[in-house]
Amino acid sequence: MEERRFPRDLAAVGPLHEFVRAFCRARGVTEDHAFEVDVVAEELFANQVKHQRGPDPVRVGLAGGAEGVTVRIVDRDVERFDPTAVPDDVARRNREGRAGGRGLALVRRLSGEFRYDYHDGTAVITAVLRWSA
Amino acid sequence: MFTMATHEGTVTLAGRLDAAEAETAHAAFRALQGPLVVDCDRLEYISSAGLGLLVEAHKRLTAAGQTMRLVRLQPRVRNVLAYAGLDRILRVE
Repeated sequence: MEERRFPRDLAAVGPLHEFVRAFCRARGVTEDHAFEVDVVAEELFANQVKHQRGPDPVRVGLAGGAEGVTVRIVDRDVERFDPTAVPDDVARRNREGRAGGRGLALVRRLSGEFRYDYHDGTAVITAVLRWSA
Repeated sequence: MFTMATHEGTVTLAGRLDAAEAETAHAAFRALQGPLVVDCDRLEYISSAGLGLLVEAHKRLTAAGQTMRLVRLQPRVRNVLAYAGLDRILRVE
């Protein structure tokens, strides 16, 4: 797993994208699939920035290659908040024209697995994207 | 980097409309007037933050009796709209 630490700030989304793109290029991930990894990594990172107030930078890890990529977020000293348990109400939000609340829906659509673990104040969020050869 | 330019009822979006850029672009989106064509030919990337700007603009213009059309979307950007179910809400051509 390759891992980087990013400041708890949406301004770090740019450097996060650079990390994702460099990883995907080095591992032979197609441009179409790298785009999907980019979206998933941004949505998971942004979710932590918006909803958690931990003291440390947010750790983002990437593993895998052309057949699939795992995105793992590790966030220390944060409250328990399980993004996999958030109801998928995107259809209602769309009907009502609400601006927010689509990030986790995108993660769910793009990921074959979406997991949350919480232990001793550390949250680990994992999304696995898989593509057939 | 994300840019937007408005000319005679068409706003041209270019670059990457991610969470960081969406914060900066919010005021410009709120100033858009209808009827509006949103040219997405050079829009390379969009995440939920960018989708939120489009939804907000669409809701505001529709409430004012105006139209907003999205045109020339790149396939990857079009897919993101579809994953979010917005291809059935926004007018995508």
